[in-house]
Amino acid sequence: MSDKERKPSTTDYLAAAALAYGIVYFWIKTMTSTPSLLAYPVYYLAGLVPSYLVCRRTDSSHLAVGIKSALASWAFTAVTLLAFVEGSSLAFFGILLICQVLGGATASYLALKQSLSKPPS
Amino acid sequence: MFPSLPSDEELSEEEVDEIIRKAAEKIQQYGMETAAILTLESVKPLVYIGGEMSRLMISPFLPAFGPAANELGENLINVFEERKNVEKLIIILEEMARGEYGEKEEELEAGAPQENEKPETDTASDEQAEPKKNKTWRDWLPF
Repeated sequence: MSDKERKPSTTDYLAAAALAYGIVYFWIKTMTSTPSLLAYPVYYLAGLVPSYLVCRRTDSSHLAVGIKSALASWAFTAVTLLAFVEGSSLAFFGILLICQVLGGATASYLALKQSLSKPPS
Repeated sequence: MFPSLPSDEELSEEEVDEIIRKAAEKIQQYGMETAAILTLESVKPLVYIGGEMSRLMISPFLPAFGPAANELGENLINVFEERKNVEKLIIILEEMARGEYGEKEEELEAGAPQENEKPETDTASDEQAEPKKNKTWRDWLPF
């Protein structure tokens, strides 16, 4: 393996954002009858899962990468929902931002924990 | 003419290493290696500003806690306002999290490991090397 430090590319961030949007869109379109309280864990997972996958592609600055990925996911989701889904309120985007950033921070912790448990290559 | 302040005294390389080692051991004692690495990596670019802010906001109040606390506080500010020392701390914490910390020193002290060593002695030395960890609330977390 090369000594060069691995860093996620812009494509990685975009792919993570698309995945996060997929999770949120799927929830919005299919689970309209369930209580909205259940939406928070889904938004949290929509931040956690893509950020974790991006964080696995870095060797350092896990927290910065996780938060960046979460913010990219939120921006992509917000812009796309504004364009394609009617009736999204400002409070919804605020909650989505908080949940996704929390998910990103958790993802960076999990990714770092996993990379530390592996022996260095 | 004036008595020298603790912050005026230059720390030797050994003293700096000792402070970093003690800080790392304290973090390990509480099982916070991963969280500390995450935080230190994020704040690394700002450590100089943090050090200067500490000099301004914390240093004036340290003498109120006694000369020992004053010296310790000044030393911590002096050491951790330099980025290379924070990087050293991160490296030590990573080694601790992987269970590699202290292995090199032990190998150097003990010499090359002998092949005809009994397995009982190996397990005994392992038990000595790894102190017993107290169960904390973090052990109940799934990650």
